[in-house]
Amino acid sequence: MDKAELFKLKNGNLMKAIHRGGADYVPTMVASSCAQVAYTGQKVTDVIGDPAAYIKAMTDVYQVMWCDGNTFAGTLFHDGIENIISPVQNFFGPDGITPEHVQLSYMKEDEYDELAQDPNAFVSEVLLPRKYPRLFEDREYAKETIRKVAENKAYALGALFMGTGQVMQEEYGITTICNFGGVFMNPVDVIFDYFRGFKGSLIDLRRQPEKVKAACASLRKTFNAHTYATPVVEFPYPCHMTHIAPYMKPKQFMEIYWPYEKEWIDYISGGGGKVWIMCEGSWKNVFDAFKEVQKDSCILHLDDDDLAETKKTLGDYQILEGGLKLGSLYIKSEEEVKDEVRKVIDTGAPGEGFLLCTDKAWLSATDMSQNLIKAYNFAHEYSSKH
Amino acid sequence: MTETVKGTNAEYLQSIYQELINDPDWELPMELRFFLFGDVNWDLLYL
Repeated sequence: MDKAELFKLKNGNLMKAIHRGGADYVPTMVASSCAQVAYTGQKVTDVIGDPAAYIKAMTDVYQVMWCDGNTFAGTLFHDGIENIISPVQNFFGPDGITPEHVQLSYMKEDEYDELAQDPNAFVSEVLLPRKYPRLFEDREYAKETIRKVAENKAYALGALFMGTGQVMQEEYGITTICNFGGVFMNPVDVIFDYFRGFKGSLIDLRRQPEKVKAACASLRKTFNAHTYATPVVEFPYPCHMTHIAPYMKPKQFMEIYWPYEKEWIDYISGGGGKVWIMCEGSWKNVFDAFKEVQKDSCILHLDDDDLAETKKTLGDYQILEGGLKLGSLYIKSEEEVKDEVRKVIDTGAPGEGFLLCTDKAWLSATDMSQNLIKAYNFAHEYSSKH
Repeated sequence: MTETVKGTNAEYLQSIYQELINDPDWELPMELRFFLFGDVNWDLLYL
């Protein structure tokens, strides 16, 4: 089978699965940082300076591993960025493969009024000088630093990330379904990611929820406004990497988080599109909310939630992705792995609308195991016959 | 001689972004200067 035929086969089947249109087998999905590099015996930091070497290291594994679709694969940052500007939150760990994120939060608990009044000004006039004071003390330094940051981002996102997706499709027929140019951020996640961090956000939700709500309302009108000024594209799908949601009480989630999420889903589905949402942690106490939005408007990636339980709640309403526990692959025998894959397929496949994936993204060298490769290949084999 | 902020930080930063966007001697092609066309201040905060 040539490459064009392979793409047609995989892409056609994947789209049928997503649209409940009679797929011939259950598609297997990629969700990763750069663990694929470990298959070649290299580190990311060995190859990241050479786009061709990096992309080859990121894609060689697909010569032996059947994958149909890609949610995300690769790095969004180049490890040299901390030499350009410091501090940064993202870098590769000592093993040269596992990405690390150390959250930096610069907003104080008593600054919500300032944030709500003008989020853009709060970022430029208060927080950026706190994080990078030298940018405002030395214009020549600022210009050269920002130039280098822009080059670093162009390289990481353009040459590396997009280049990897291109080779995945052209050489291995793997369709990227998520549009990282269309990332949505729920205003509550914006507070979490940009302003108060994990601990601060959760404390604030309990101690000053009205302030948090006011800030979110202001963010919706400013930072988030562009989402609703951008025309809907049917494919690839805009995506949302959720963060704070599983740590909120269900009542709080429904009151503060869900209205913004629903608004976004309704906007995209109203324009003929779908969304892909990484449901980090456990969402079982709030999954019923997804019955309020258009049927099959969401592809929900399951993390800690049980596939069988979620299928029962949501299987007829939304597309589910996940089912295979990455951690179990470290310790199981090949036969045990096959048993687990059979169970995942037998649970997820009936009624269609199911994409097989690991719960966790492939981050470390140990994630790219022989068992993972065997599991995906067996998933394709088993689901093709049943 | 270093030059510091005149006006607001937002104006100061925007002037830098605009200079970079308009720089004809910069080897980075225009289509790859996308970092400078987005919410740059927010992206710097999120680095």
